[in-house]
Formats: sequence, structure tokens, C-alpha cells
Amino acid sequence: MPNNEHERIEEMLSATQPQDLTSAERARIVAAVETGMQSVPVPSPYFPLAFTTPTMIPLALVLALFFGVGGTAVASDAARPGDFLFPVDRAIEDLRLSLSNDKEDLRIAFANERLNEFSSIVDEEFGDDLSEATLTEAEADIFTNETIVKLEAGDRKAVFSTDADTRAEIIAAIRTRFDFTETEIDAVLVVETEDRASTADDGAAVSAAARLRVEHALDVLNDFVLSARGAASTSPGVLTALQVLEAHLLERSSVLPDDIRMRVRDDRARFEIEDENGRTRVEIKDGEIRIKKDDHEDDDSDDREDDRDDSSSSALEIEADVFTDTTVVKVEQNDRKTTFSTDATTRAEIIAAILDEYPGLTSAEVDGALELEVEDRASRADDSSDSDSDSDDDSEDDTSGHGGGSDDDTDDDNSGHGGGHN
Amino acid sequence: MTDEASLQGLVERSVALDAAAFRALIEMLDRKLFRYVSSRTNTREEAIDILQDTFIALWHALPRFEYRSDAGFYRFVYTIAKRNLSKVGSTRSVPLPDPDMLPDNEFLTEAPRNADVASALKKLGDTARDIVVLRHWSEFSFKEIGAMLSMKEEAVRVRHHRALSKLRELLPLYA
Repeated sequence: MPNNEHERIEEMLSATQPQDLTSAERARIVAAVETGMQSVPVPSPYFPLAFTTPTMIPLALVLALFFGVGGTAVASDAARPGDFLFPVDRAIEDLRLSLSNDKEDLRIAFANERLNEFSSIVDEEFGDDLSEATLTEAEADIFTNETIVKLEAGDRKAVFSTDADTRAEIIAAIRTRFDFTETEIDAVLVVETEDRASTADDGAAVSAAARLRVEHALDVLNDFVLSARGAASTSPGVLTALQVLEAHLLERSSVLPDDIRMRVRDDRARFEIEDENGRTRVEIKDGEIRIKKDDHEDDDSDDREDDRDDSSSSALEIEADVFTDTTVVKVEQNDRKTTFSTDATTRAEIIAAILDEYPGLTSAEVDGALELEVEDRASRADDSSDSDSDSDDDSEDDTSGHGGGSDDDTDDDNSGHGGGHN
Repeated sequence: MTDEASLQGLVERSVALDAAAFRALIEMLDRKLFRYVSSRTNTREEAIDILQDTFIALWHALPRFEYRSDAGFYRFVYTIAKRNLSKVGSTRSVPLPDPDMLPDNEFLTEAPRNADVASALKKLGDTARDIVVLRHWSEFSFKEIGAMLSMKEEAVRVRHHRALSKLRELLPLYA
């Protein structure tokens, strides 16, 4: 039984706990902390971290002006940074949000509001809102690969897939998504075990593969935000907002459609969820999470505008598609395109691989231009080529920037719906 | 009347810059926190450094903290720890503790090799790994972990269950 196996794993985890601190180590920590407690971090221990990224430089300048150069005068306990910073301007306010716990709550509330918007978009597109309804039917089919749960409340229906494979877990999984009580669910839930894997006909809203893809994309997003934006991205407000976002997406991931696409974009810490109904953008900027829904109506022109915006500062464009078998990297530099593949799967690894191929580029340039996409399938011959011919390296036939741009768009669209065809 | 030695009492006195209370608070937290930090650092030394930086940052951040619940406080500490861990580099690419950091286990017949466990944990996603480590190493409750990660308790349970299944696949010899 899985539960016994889980117990073994749990025992094993407990048995491998790191060795506790020795009394000597403890004494050392206490001594170091006592010294640290004496120092007056001006204006806050967070500041040295906050100023390590380019985005924080303007703030540092404003602060330097405000406090006078050197700005180390705020030493009294009563004069907390926040009191001074409050009225300066919105940028300062943002910073203050990351410093003050109360304000952090505001920030989270803000993120929650955005997320609720996002959630209602998901509901509109992919399932009925079952809140405030009475559960009339609940059926769970345990297949060998996943469990599909179908719910009905009056004339409203919802379906999702989960890993839960016992009655208790299924009830927990339902409660994670919907506001029903255990008794309510228990009264109507019918559980059936099927001795086969689920198929599309079984009514799964989404395949296990798509769910994995969302998780993978979230991992990539996390990795990206933590590494690329450095310390600033882990300011409590942003970090917490990200966690809320991730939790929310994970809860929702089972109702996301199959041919969804998520991508993490360059310096603006933005990722997009794209499906046939349009594109939802989640952008993390200036410590805020912004969620925007685009319809497909004028999609092409939008795309082009966006692409131009993104690349306006440089003639370098890099796209990396992380497939299940390999990562295909396309580099376009001054209208010259090259493609190579690598085993790298994380942003940092991919950047390192690109730098190996292009010793002339700096990691900052690559980081700024790199667009990462995660594809939940193996690569195909046409993935490594932007033109019809299956050229491996330099696609010299691409002579104009515009030609390159539209090729990219076509390619994007193909891969965007690729999941659906598989 | 709040018990002065309770977590709430210690936090409230530390917020008021009571150094003695803060020392007691450190004693109460260091074990849980060290275990978590260890899962994200390369060496024991580094874990100790991060732990002391976290406590120093906590002391300076506390005046702005308002106690509402133990779980809320853990979340505050977790956020600061995570922030300090970002100094180590990407939390994802950081290898797990070297085997020397971990105790030997002689009481299990098929003693899990700590290095195997470490590398299996590394294959979990960030959140799943945090959930497993916070649960089984730091010994937080699911409810507390939910508060720390801004997730519903049930969501934590489901992900925990899933993470154990994955660990079982990754460590077939031990399960």
C-alpha cells in the first residue's frame, strides 16, 4: 500500500535530519548575533540586499538625496526608516512596502486581488464556479495514471484531475479547490477504480502532462525570479506574492487547458499563459504582480509590438525552448540567426551554454535577451529551424529583420498549439 | 495574561527590543531553522553563517512585526531566512548538504545513504522540497507550513503526499 511506503519514506527523512548544532556552534552563533544586534543597520538590514540590482539604483539615488550623501544619520530606534520614507514618492513607497510588515500585508492583499481576477478568468474559461451552490453529485474515477473528479452542483459542473487515490485524499483534493464541507462531499461522493489509464474521453479537463508542464514552468519561473533578479526579488512582498501566485496556480493547474503555454520573459520578470482563447500575462514589476488578459483578436499585431518593445534596446534576440529531450537555443544577432542544442535546462545553465558558443557576448547581454520557453514534448526537426529548409546552423536566407520577426511569430504559434496536437 | 516564556511572549518582548527575550527566542528557533537552512546551503559553515545573518536580520526587522499567531511569526522568519539564502545564489541550483553534514544511521537495516536522500530531495521542485524539509526536518505542522508558504493546509497535504510518492520513485531501495 502506498501509505506504508510513505511511512518508510517519512522514517527515512526523519533519519536523515541534519546533525543539530553543537554547543560550540551555538555559542558562536549567539556571539555573532549579539554583535550584529549592536550595530545599527542604516536604514535597515534589508538595504544592502535591496541595492544589489539595477532596478534599485534609482531608489538608492533618491535615498541618498533624501538623507544626504552617506545618509547614515538615522540611528535612533524611534526614527525608523519607514517614518521618513513615507512621503517621498511612489518609488520610495514601494521600497517601504518591502520593509514594513504592515504594508507587506497590503501588498499581499493587492496580489490577492490580482490573483482573484486571474482566478475568475480561469473560471470563466474552463469551469463553472461552484461556490454558494449545493453539491448534488460527485464522482471520482481512479485511473492508473490519475484520478478524475467530476462534480455537479445543480446545473453547474466542474471537473479536475488529481493525484489523490484514496477516498480521504480525494475529499481533501476537492476541498482544496471548492468550498464544500467534508460531510457534504462524503454524502454524495462515488469512487470507482479503473484498471487502466485515463483517455481523453474520460472527461479529464487536462492531462497529467499538462499539469506537469505547469509545475515545471512554475519551477522555471521561481528559479528565474530568484536568480535573475537576485536579492531584490526575494524582498518579502515579492516573494510572498510569488508564493501566493504559485499556490494559486497549482490549485488551478488541473483546470488549465491542455494546449496552454507559459513562458518566462527576460528582464521584466514576466510570464505568459497562452491558450486558444488568448493570453494572460503575469508580470512582476517594481515589486508588483500585474495580471493582464489579452484576447486573440488583434493578437498578431500585439505580438509584433511587444517583440519590438522587448528588443528595441538591442539587436540581440535569443530564444531557448526547453524540450523534454533537449534544449534548442536560437540566437539572432544583427539579423544573423544561428541555432544549436544543449542539455542545459535551467536559465543559468542555458546562459552558460550560450556564452560557451558566443564568447563575444556578456552574460548580462544574454540574460537580457534570453526568452525561455518550456515545451512538454520532445523536439522535432522543425523546432530547430525558423525557415522551411532544415538548415542546421546559419540561416543566411533570412536577410531582413522583418522576415525574421514574422518567422518567429509563426514558429511561436506552432509551438503554442503543439501540445494540443500531441 | 501572556505566558512570558511562550513563543508569543518572547516575540512580543523581542519586538520591544528585549535582548534577553530574543536570546531565548533564538534558542527556541535555531534547531528548526538550522535544519531548513541546511537543506539550502552547500556546507555546514555556510548554513551557520546564514543562520546567524537571519537572526540578526530578524532582530532588526522585529520592531515592525506585529504578533498575530505563531504561524504568522514562523512565516515572517521563513521569509527572512529565504531572503538571506538568496545570498547563497539561486536556491534551486544550490546542491544539498554534503554527506558529512548529516548523521550516520546505524539502526536501520537498510540505512538510507544521506547523499541519496539529498540528491532525491534536490529533484523535487522548490516548493515540494520546502514542504518536505519543513515537515520532516524542521518538524513544522502542515498548518504552519501552509501559513509559511501562503498555501491552504490541504494544498500542502496534497503536495506533500505527491512529493513522498516522487521520493519513493527516486529512492526505490528504501521504500
